[in-house]
Amino acid sequence: MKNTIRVERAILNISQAELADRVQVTRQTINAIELEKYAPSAVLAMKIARVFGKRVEEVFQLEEGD
Amino acid sequence: MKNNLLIAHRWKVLGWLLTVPAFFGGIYYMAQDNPEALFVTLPDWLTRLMWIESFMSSEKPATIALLDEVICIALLVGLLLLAFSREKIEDEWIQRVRLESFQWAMLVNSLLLLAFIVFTHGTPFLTVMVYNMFTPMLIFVARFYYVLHLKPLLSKS
Repeated sequence: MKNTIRVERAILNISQAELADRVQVTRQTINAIELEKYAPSAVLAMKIARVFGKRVEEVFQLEEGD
Repeated sequence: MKNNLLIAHRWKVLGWLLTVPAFFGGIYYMAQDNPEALFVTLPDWLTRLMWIESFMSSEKPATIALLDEVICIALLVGLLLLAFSREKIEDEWIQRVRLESFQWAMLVNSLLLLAFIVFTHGTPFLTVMVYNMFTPMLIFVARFYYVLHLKPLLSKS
């Protein structure tokens, strides 16, 4: 699953740590999601999208093979 | 995702306090070829409840050395506390690292054991079995803490 978290963070000008704080996970979790090493649960994906004020599909996109 | 098997984060301190000395104590114990210490004499009723056998005679010895028991219990309890205490923020990625580390530990331990079954015979295999009592938990704790705490440090520097 691809995502645009890095871009969305840049728009809001917040760090990985700040985003992690807002959705109550560790900074490493945000890092793993950004590097696309880890696909978040539906709950976490919705919380992240809510921070950016976007719909989940705008932040997370399925890839071929998903 | 809630994991009810986990205990509070504060138990980690006790986990390290037990594991580190017991780990080095255990290595020292094995290197010294099972030194006996902390002798206790058991009451008769207790020896009846316990499975004790002497290598030398058929009589149940009433006096036993507790050093090895103390080291084993401290190491096992310490490793259990480290393995089952929550991280400060226990999130879903950490849960996955936890699960992967358990799978890793089982796989590596089994492969090591397979190799030792093939390459050791007789009394040395007893030594392998002694270490094998702790290797699954040791591999788990080493891998879990490496991914969570050491790897991010190493990638930063």
